[in-house]
Amino acid sequence: MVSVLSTSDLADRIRRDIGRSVLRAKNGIKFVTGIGRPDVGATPKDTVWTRDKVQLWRYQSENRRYRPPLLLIMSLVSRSYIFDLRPGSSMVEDFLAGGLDVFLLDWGIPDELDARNTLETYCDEYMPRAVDAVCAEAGVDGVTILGYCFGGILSLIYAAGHPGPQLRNLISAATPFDSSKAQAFPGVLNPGRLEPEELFDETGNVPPDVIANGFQLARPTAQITSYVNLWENLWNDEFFEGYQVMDHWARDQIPFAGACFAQTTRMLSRENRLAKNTMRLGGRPISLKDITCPFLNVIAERDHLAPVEAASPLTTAVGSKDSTEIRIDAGHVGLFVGRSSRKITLPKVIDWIQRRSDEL
Amino acid sequence: MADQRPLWKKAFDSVERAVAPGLESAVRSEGFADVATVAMRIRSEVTRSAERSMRRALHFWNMPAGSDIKRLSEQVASVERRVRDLAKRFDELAEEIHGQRPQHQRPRRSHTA
Repeated sequence: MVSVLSTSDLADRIRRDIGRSVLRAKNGIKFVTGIGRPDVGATPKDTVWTRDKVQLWRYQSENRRYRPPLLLIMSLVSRSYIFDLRPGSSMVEDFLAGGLDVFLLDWGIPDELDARNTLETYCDEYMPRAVDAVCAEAGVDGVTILGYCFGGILSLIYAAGHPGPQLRNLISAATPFDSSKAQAFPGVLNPGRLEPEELFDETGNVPPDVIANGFQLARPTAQITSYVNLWENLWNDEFFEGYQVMDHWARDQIPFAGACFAQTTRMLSRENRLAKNTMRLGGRPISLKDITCPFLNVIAERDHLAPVEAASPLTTAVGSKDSTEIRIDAGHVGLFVGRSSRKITLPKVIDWIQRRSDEL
Repeated sequence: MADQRPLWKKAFDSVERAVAPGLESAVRSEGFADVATVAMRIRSEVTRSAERSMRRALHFWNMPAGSDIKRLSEQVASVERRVRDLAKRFDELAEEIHGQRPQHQRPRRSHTA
């Protein structure tokens, strides 16, 4: 049925469209020039420990009501400010509001010096020392670790390689545990095709654009869809501000330390050792069955990098008797960023942590 | 609730929904992986060959090429790495002596918005 607009409706629509075009032009200029991009990682924090390029931050709070502290572990290829994106849309803010004592381990940006960093460097050297530093700083004897994306893999390897009472609770979020079902770099790094070293640049690391292209291959239409959505909503300041900061984060990827990338490709992607429980760290065998602390597996149902079938087997692969899985109707990033994250994911995660912590 | 999307967006979404699964399965196919592998190798070879020619030209005029800078930067990184390893050995010695990991690398710096 064809609806006929009255003259006043038509005038309203024209007025609205002109208004939106002006806003589109204004926000379009901001987008292209990067002017007015909201500050990221703005929650006040202290650097409490460093080693090489790695920094441990403790977020300031007058509201620490639970122990053990929460240690956030980020992936090696993305900037850690995704945890503290902007005021009003920050996981860190929500964890602090939930009475948690929040620490974040920032890996820094690798260069030539870090090209030989391996999984052992991160899981046997940096993480145990960072956990010690958290305990010393907070005056406690254990921590809760939350690893996001590849940070979840690092956290699992650390936890399996260093079993003991220091790890009170473990949370793995959007973690592509079963590599045979994960979808980044589809096929090109399989045996007989590209060797990981062929992707190294002159610094001996994998450059960020190669990593970004590898991720984009998992969803080839994502970029254009994202731009179309931007065009549709460019007049909406709230949408635009969120888009601007997320787009900045998505483009702000960092190099992957070469040796670690080669090891990850061979041991985790090709041989799928973590899922097959044949992983070795520093020459010694490690088993996820040695992870016996309470475990939470947070899965995004629309995650294209760590799809449900790649993430879910982890729930039963660990040795924890208290192992929980929650599934959220979200994508890989939307799991912890945006309105639904604040309404659904974070309250569930915070509640799970609080139930397994001591109230001060 | 009525669909508020403009017509052009509805059209785009239907095309995207129709095309995306095919594209996704195409990039996951063996054929695509083969083509991508060959394309990346060709690109690397072209880059290497361009670098070789450029190096020859620059060296002819007694000027440093990118590969010279790269070699120097590798040497600096190697020295830095050795210094870093030495510092870590000192740490390990301290760990053995004190029976715990040293906490001396604990600068306190505040970052506020």
